Amino acid sequence: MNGPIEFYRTFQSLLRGREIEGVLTSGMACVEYGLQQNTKDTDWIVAPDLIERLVKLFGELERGISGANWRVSYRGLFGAPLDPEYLAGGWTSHLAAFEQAESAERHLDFFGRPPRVGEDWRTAAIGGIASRDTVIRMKKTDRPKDWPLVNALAIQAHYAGDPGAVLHLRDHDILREAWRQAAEASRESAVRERPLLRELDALDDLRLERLLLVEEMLWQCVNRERYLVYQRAWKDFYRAWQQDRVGEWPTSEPFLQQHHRVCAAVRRHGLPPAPLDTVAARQAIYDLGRTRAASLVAATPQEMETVAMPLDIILR
Amino acid sequence: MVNEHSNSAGDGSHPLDRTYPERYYEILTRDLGEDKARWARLPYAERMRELAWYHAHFNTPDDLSPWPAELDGGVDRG
Repeated sequence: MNGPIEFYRTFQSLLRGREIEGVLTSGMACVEYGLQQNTKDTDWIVAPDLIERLVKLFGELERGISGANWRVSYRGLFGAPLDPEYLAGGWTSHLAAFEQAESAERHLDFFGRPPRVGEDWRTAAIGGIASRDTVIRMKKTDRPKDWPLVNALAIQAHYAGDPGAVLHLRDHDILREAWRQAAEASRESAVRERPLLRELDALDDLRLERLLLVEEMLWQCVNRERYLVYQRAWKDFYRAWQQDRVGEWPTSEPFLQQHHRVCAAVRRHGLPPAPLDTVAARQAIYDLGRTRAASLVAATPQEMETVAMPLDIILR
Repeated sequence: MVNEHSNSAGDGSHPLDRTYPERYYEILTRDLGEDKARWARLPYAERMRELAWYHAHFNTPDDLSPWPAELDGGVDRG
């Protein structure tokens, strides 16, 4: 029986075969970059405007049209449907697939507009794998276990000669080395994205470590506020939907029937397609996260000002 | 510098199969533990063989969580 590694390679070639622009990201991408992650889930970024092709692909895989005879289903907590409007609005879709009757259940998670990356995920992807920069930005979550991966991928990027590593490095000696090597012309844009860099030369190691901690906490707290918006909206939708007497979910229906059912349900019950599509909504999230971060690490207003990245970076 | 966007080595090796300065592995050991640092030093094919064994025998908290990480999943969310 195939394992998760063979599965994601199979799925990658299916995407290519249908000319569906997409890349593998998150844990399995870390594996490709030499960072051991044992999760069996595969996370994918797919261009929202091509998502209908993906839906069609799943329908065909279930019907055995191209030889394979998969079972594909939305998962119980499915996020949003594979719908271009929702995926472009920052939602994720969560599916399960079986390649054959006795195969293991594969979990596939789809992003259309990954958090903190936006539409830049196409840049510098390597052979169907999201770039280190994309994976790093997606890993700037509120899960502490993701942060060593941020640093490790940034160190790899530095040693691979990527000047963008300076935006993500967290080890002060390597960060200083990367900053010394940064071309003068690139420094201004780097400082705009990561204001901490402006102070780098003036900070001793202890002070730098302190500000790196404040900076990390800010990323964590803003991410937490971000996903809470989606989580609350999803729970409200799910409760309302259950009152439709949906019965057991996921159903045993073919995938395309499930898909039509959830697409209709999210619109009937008003799941917002893009909960953070206004600057005001994003600013409110940022302010909440900033207040929480300052409180958790007792950061002074000056420390917070030194590390606070622009809204269009932290909530891209 | 290795061009990772094509296999410029031309020897059939995996384009992401590269080694880094020792400092990198020291940091992996510090942050992720001895075993993950050891794994990172292996050639690509060997890394994947070990991982396949792990996949066949274990589930991670993320695999078992009904909530996807993007909606607060993973029971080990710190």
